Amino acid sequence: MLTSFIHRFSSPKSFVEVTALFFPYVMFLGVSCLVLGWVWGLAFAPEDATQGNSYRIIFLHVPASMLAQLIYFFMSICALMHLVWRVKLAAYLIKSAAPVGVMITFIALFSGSIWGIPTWGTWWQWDARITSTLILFIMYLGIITLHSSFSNAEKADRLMSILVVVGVVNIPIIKKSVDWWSTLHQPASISISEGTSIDPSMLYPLTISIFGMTLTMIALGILVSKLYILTREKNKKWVQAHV
Amino acid sequence: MFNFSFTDFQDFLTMDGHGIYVWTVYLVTSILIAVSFLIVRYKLNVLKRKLENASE
Repeated sequence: MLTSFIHRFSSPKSFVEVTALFFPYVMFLGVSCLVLGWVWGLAFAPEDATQGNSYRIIFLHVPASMLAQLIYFFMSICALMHLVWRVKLAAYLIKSAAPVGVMITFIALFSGSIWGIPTWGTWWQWDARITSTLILFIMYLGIITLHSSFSNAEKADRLMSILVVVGVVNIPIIKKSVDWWSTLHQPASISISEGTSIDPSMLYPLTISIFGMTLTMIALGILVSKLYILTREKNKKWVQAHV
Repeated sequence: MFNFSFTDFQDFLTMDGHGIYVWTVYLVTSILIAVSFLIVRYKLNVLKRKLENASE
């Protein structure tokens, strides 16, 4: 029953049609929240007692870092769906999410490095959190390169899915790196189990920024996946009808 | 909660010497995100045109 449900609602055609309906709303809400969260964080949130104004990078760095891991986790679920149930759309989504993952992981590393200059006195440190995030960035690039290196697309999908599943081991390492090792990077400020250590005046804009960045990346993901699906299925009748 | 945290606009830009770091990060990220959307949109339009021409 689950298999038939997955196959029925996971055709590339339905995906392109359904996401086209949601896209404008996701895009509008995402960009609006991102602008609101950033303006609130940059201009109206109070100055941090220890880090001064440099802490305002948090409203960009935390959403980017969370999404870098979340996108990979999403890709690993898609990879399992592709390997177990042979869902074609799942492979398409991995291939489409990987460039978005590269960009957001780069933003996380870049913003962290810049933040490190006034806070730690250095832009780079071979610290557990930073190094494991760099490995995530290389994983994303590796996934894209692996898929592009095969002329047989189905074989490329399968191997890419296997690599994604193997690489998911890095996600809990990134998450727990600040607890397992003594690192320069501060521990998580927001935790589902332990609550938050951030004052509401900073937490509200941060939450809105996380929500906005997530929706904006979903919107970008929808566009990238549409481009990839149309390219991959360009010889199918439904694509001709769609354009 | 919605009080402007700086004395004036100049103070907002400089952020006590941290402005260069903060603004660089926000500017580069905004450009990256905007350019990504524009590139994908452009590629989609090119692809659609190609498919339309092929079907004619």
